Amino acid sequence: MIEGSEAREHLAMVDRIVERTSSRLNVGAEYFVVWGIASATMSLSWQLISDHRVPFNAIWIAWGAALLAVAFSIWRGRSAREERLTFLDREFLTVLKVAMGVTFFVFAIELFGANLFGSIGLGAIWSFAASIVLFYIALHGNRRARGGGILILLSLVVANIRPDYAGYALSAGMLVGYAGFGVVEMLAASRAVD
Amino acid sequence: MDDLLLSKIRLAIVAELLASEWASFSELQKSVATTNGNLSSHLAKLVENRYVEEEKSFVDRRPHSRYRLTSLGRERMIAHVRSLQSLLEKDLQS
Repeated sequence: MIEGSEAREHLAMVDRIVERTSSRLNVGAEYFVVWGIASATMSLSWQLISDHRVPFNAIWIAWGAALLAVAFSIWRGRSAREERLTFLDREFLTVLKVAMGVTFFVFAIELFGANLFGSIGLGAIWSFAASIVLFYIALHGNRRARGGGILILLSLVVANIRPDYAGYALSAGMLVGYAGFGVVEMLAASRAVD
Repeated sequence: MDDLLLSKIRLAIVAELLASEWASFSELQKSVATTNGNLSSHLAKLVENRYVEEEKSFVDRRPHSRYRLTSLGRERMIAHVRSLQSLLEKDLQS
């Protein structure tokens, strides 16, 4: 049997651990960093090409960034088996797959000549999907994710107000709101372990 | 009160697994902050009593163990936390 003071200590420990593990991403944080940088590179490339600041060939940088992000996701998915997968990680990966699936579906429609959104429209759809992913994580009590989601929505507002700078705005939103969130989350995870 | 969960390390292991699909040995060691041998013996007790399920495999030719909480382990943990809470309430009333 244990004393009341010991019971309090045990309950406090369980509270601390559950709070830490239920609102923290373990595997997912790196996806945010990689996809945030890749998305920012794509939007920025598009904007620079549109502004004739770089030659059209620079489109390959955007494609390269996307391919690297896909390759990383496949590799990380396999090596994640070595660590830990929280319920939040699993749900996040599901929402991410749905968001990516919808975006790539729209992208495929565009490739076949539907021309519904235009290049920057696709970037905006991807940013919108990214904000949904972040707000979904925020629902689990992660305030950092809410901050990231708000930053991305703000970038969409700026892109809408100043369409001539849309690529820069979306790029900044993904870099700060998405990749930045991933970095902060990784730092929080390493601090929690220390 | 669950005798198996009266140990602070075993309680911490089960709490770590509560919000996780699974966790590897090394992840648990980092979180629970104990020695290899100590963690192994506590995990063995939890596995033996079917609170925790162990899965052994090879990753990059290295042996790898990962653990998940069973439904029995989850039920016992919830009951144990309730017992701790009622003990605390009684303690506060007296």
